[in-house]
Amino acid sequence: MLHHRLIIRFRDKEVKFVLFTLFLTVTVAALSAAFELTWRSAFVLAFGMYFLLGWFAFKQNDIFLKKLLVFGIAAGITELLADCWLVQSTGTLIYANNEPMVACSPLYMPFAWAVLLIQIGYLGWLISRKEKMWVSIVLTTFLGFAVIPLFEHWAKGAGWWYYVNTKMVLNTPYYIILAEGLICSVLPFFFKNIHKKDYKWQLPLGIIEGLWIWAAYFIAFKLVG
Amino acid sequence: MVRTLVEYFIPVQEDKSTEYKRRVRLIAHAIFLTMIFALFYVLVSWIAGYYIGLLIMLASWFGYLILMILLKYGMNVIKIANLFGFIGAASIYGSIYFSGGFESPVLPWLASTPIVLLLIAGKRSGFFWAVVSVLIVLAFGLMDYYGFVFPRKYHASKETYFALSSQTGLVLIIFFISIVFENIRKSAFTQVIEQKNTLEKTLSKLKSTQSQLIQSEKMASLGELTAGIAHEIQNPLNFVNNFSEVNSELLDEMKEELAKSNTMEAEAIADDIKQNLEKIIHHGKRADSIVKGMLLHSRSNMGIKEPTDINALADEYMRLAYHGLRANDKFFNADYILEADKSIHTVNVVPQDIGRVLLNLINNAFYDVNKKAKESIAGYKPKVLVSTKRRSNTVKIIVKDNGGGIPPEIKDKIFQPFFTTKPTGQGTGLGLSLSYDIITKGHAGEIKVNSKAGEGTEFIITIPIK
Repeated sequence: MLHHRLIIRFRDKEVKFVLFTLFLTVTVAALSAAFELTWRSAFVLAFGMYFLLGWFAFKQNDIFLKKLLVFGIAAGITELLADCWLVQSTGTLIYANNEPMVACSPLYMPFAWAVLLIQIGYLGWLISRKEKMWVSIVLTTFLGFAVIPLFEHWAKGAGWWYYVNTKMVLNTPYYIILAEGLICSVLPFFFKNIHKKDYKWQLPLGIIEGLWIWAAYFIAFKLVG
Repeated sequence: MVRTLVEYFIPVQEDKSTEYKRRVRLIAHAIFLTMIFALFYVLVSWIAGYYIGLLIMLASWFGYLILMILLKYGMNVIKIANLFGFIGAASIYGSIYFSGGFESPVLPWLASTPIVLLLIAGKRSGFFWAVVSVLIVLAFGLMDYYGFVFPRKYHASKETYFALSSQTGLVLIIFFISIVFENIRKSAFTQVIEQKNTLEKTLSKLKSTQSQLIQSEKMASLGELTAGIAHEIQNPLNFVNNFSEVNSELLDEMKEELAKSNTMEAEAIADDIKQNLEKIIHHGKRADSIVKGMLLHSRSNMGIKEPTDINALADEYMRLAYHGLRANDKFFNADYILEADKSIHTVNVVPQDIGRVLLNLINNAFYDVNKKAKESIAGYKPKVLVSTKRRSNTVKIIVKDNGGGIPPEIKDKIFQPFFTTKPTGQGTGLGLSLSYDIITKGHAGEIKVNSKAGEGTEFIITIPIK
């Protein structure tokens, strides 16, 4: 019973911290858009937030969060393929190009994806602890529909990236909204497995998530792009 | 992690005061927090394209790091605090200059130095840095007034962002350093309360031990009295026994005379019996008063002041002390003289307390002369003189001996509790200390000592007449 209580208390701390980072990310992104802070604010935000999550995970010896950080960065690096496809094949995604790059993406992009997947996926995982898996998948998908397009909108305002030559709502293409909903839909399932299983799983699941990002963009682009 | 990092720079200072340690902790935390903010402002400056500001912040960050190292290696904490103020003020000054001078969004940061220094280093440093900050503001104001054009090295499009970051940062750094101050103050306060509680417990234990020791000292002096008391009681008891026996014989004689109807002779015998009975009563009362005196002496509470014949008291305790010593040591011999001032009638004192003081001083005097006598100095005659003298508002009781005297190096210590020159087990070291308290605190008098090594000692007790 005591052990159970300690775990709940520990989890409370973790939940609060992840929600705090989500709040911080939204605030910085909104301010970046308001003041057109260019790729530099995205760079600081992505690396800073990943560092902050890592600091908390190591300070609290939070194994789940440590595993999520590996999952996130694996997905973020694999996602670079999807980014290249969006930039070069669809020609709809434009980066500033006056910043440090890796492949076709800004240097910070794997970390930005890692942070976002952890934050959204964590909320989905929290829902899955109370609700059935299909409910949490539906809710996380809607969360993806709602939050990520908001970031896309701010990204243009801040000068991080923008989209061209495609049908859009404000600054966000339809296919991006659909794709990012799909990307988020699998997160509760992945996070539940990462939470349950040992250290071997987060890396392959991260790569699968990265490939799924590519697949989601591809499907969405073909459907509504 | 942050705490571990800050703790690394806090030096181990076993010999320093709690306040000093608290200040070191406070300064270490303040510098560390400022280092984090400096790094934050490196990023803010980078985003705003304010590269010279970025360099200033980096330089100040290294300055703070050096201060932390100096702190670890024991540099004076107030010097560290003022150097911290200097680096802070210099970097703020630089940032203001290159970001528009008097109109710079960094200008309000000048308020942070005196506030932070006041919290971490005290009023003096706070006042000094307040003056410095005001002078810097005035300098910028005057330069602006006389048309000096300050450079603006950040991107014009980032002005609002730069101002917002500066003001937010200022609020946050003062808030965080105040939180550190409050936490450390609170922990210091808790520590003080804990120490107070511990001290109170210790004091209570000490008081209890002290009262036990005082009682022990009383019982010890009672022990010293016992032999004298035995001697004193023996005399009246002898009278009582002898006269009782005589009366018994006289009653037999009286019966015989009455049987012979010799009334005249029987009446004469009855007169003798009556005289003997009066003597029995007198000596019985004498024994009674000795026992009462002994009981009074052993009483643990402070007595009540009452008119007391000081001369009689001195005489009684002198004899008791002498006979007590004689009973313990049959080779002991000394002249003892009482020079009583007959003009002293009664003085309002606590008799058992003054008796205890006299007994203590006289015992010490006898002890000292006896010790000197054992050295077999030719022509030496041990002598103890007790004299009483009346002055206009006071009464003096002087106990003087011609013993070995008190060495000058210990003269200042003789009234300290537990100080004794007697061999272990022979003295508690509380006699003179208690005597001092009885005279000074109990009777608002004074006790002085004059002594010459090898010549003798004189204790002078002065008691006010009320």
